[in-house]
Amino acid sequence: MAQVTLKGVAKNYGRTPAVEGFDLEIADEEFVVFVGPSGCGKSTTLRMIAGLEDISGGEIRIGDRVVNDLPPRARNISMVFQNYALYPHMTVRDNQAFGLRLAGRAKEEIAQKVARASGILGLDPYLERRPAALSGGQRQRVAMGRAIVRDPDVFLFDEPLSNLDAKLRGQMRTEIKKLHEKVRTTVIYVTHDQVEAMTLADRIVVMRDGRIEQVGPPEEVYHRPVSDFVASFIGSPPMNLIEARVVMEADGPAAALRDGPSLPLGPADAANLAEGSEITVGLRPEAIAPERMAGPMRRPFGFEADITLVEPLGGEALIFLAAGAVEMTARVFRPTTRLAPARGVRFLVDLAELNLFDRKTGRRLGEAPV
Amino acid sequence: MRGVTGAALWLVRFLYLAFALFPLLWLLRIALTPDEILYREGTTLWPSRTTLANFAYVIKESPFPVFFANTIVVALGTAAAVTILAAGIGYAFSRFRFRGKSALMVFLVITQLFPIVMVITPLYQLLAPIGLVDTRIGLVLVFTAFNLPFAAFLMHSFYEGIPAELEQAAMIDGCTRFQALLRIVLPLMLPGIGATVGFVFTAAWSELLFSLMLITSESKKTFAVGLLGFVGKSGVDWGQMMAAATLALIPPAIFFTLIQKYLVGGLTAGAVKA
Repeated sequence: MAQVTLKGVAKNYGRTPAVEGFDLEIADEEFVVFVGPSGCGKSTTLRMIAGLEDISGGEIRIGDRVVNDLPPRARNISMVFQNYALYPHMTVRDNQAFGLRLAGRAKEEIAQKVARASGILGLDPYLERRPAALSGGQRQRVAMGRAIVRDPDVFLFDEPLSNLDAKLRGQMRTEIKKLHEKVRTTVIYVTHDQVEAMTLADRIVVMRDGRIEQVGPPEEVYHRPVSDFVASFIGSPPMNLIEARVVMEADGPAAALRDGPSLPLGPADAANLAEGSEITVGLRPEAIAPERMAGPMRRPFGFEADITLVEPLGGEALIFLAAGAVEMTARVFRPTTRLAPARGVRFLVDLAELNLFDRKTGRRLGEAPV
Repeated sequence: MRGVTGAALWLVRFLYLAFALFPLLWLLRIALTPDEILYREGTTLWPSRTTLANFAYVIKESPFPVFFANTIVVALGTAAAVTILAAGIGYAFSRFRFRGKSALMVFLVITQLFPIVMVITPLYQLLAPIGLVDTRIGLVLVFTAFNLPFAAFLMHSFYEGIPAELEQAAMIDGCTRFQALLRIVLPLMLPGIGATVGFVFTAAWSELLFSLMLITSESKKTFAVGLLGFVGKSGVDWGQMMAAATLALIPPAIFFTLIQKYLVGGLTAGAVKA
């Protein structure tokens, strides 16, 4: 059990910076997920915390110890690798017991800890098998068992589910969440899958080009992305990002979508916007719906659009629509009638869920600075 | 259709085996043929009469037992030295990033480009002043130098087949890098070590040129040099020479039988998702 603190952590490969100015405080027992596209530095940061990569600058603390120069074995961490990295010449039991034996623990203690971990993870039937005789999901479980038997201060997960098929990935995701509830240890989890980030994290750290883009609870990152990058990365289908210009209309400022409708801007949104500013409007698909299916909205605004394509998913449906030259995706839950491509359909959009970004910098606009 | 393909495959295998094994049959045939009928009977697949006299002579009366002992010492010494060094070199090339690494690897290849005859005289002149000419140690040194580059490459490619994450997992589990190498990597390297030991042992066992040039005392000769002793002024003792050569096949055969189980790969199956 321990908090983890990163201060100005940096990693350079030669002259190429892979991670820069990484500042983060992770609380004891917190589940933090690093998410971002490949090459954003999330795995490198995790490996620096593990001690598998040298730190080029800054400071990493686990508990109250600076661990910058400690080898992995002295950091009291466990790690689950993307490819599991089980010891192929050892049985499931020995894989789990290896670390405890190295530490010179008593036989009874080792047996008891392995039994507990195997019990939690349902590994009892496979204890005498070698990894080669296990399925992908079972190997994943052994890797987790090996991590929890040692009662580490911090668990590190490096894309642990990306080698599993979709169904198993969903199951293991649930298991990891349950596991965290049972063992209550600080977890740092790296993934490029925003669904894993949303479902598992107490706090999400979105990374881009070696820097932190945004840190926050999943809801905040989802509803108040600090940039168009975060907006497009978190959420599936992604947020609609539409080019617009700020105009003055009779009843106040509005965002004129290029060749499309103008969306009136509330006073809070428009506060810092000059007329003529080039902006990007962001709208979550669920903030848009055909009028006859729309749920309650705080600030509804109606416009006409054509439905070009419908993807029914059972409990929900994705509607692809075009308003003038502007294309958007809408998501409706429990669609009450069958939807089909049609012209001139009336849609509602909830202006309370409008996100505005500076077109040039991509940063969030129109509100008090976060 | 499948039956036809299968039969054709077996035929190809049989033809290959016959081609590869025929010289061995010829070796044995001449070794077992009594001297007086060797030339008289001409070229037949098997002589009318066989004898073990040539073997008896080689074992009891010739200096071959000494030659064999020398060869075993030299070949085992070389195999041990090369394998230990190559294990270290291959590991460094596989796991560490360091300045000049690719240049060094190219350098290793370049050493393999020179014909051995080119370096014999310089080598002799290097070894003579420090008293290593006509010693078995000198021979081991030279063999080691010449087999090391290829063996290091071989080991390097085997290390590359073992995911670095296995060691990293071990280091997180509490190992030092050396412990991770010893307890996790080496057990998985047994096929690679087996292949390297086998390769080097065989090369050292049958080496002729260096042994011929560097060894002069009868008591230090290796068997390959000893075989030339059957070529006399008045002719060649074919029967004895072939008997000695047949006996020389036995140690490598035993050796490969011992290490063959380590040559079988697939030990790392299941470590990581392929």
